[in-house]
Amino acid sequence: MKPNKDIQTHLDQLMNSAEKSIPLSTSAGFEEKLFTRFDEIDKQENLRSATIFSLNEIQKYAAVILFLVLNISVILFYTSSLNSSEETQDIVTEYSDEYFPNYATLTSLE
Amino acid sequence: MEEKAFIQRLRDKNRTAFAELVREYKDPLLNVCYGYLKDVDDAEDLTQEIFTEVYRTIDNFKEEASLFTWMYRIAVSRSLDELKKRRSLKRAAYFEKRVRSEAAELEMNQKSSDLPDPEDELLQKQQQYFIQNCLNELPETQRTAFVLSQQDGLSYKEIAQIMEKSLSSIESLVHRSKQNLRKIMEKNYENYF
Repeated sequence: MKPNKDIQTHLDQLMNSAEKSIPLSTSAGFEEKLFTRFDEIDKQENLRSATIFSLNEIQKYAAVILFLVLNISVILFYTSSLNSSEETQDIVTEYSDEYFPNYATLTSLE
Repeated sequence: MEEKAFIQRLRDKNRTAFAELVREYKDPLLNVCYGYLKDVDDAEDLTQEIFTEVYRTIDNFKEEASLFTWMYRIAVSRSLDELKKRRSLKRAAYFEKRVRSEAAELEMNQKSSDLPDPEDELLQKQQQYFIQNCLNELPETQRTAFVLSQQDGLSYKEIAQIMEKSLSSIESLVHRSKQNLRKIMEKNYENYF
């Protein structure tokens, strides 16, 4: 156990070293390493912003309209095919009794 | 006007401008990070991260503060994040790693005779840990004011701009941080020495 006076002197020294840290400098390869990282960032950015193909304004509008027309035609085709399948179902139920009479009807005829 | 033109060059990703920026600020930023982390390698890695962030986000810099202030703010907030990360690590595992690497370092030093006395070196490291752990016990704003004030060339006015506080509040923060640090050191002294 140190005497209190020694502790206070040591604490003064510690406070001094906490307040006045020796200025540090970066290591030799710091800039080189950093600029390699910048190159990597640039590469990633270039990949992200790369244009796959380029179109002028009119071509862009034409592409959007064509896309809409194609979508609408697909929807229309799908809804019309649904309607026609419903009609077929109605005809089958209407005539099924006639073509396929149930067993009780057949035995009553005998 | 000159700074505006320089910032524009940075936004254009001009490598000469970035080289100037790095040369100007690498050491001051390293010292800020070291003030928090007390580990040279970690501080250098973090300084690299800060410059990378500046490179990535320079377009978002609104020029409400100076470039210097903006970069220092990034340095302070990244250092605080790093400290929080460290705190979330298991303390025992962290210290075990540190002690092991130090023991290896000490062994290396003992082998070469022209290096300083290993015991003195160990004592110095022990003191560094002590200072770091005591600094970590300070409230966040006091610690930031203390770390920034200990850096050469950082005036209270500059610290006030970085921390977005008035000059008088920075003066009292630095004063209180020194008083509290001393109290914390007195409280923890017996556990370390």
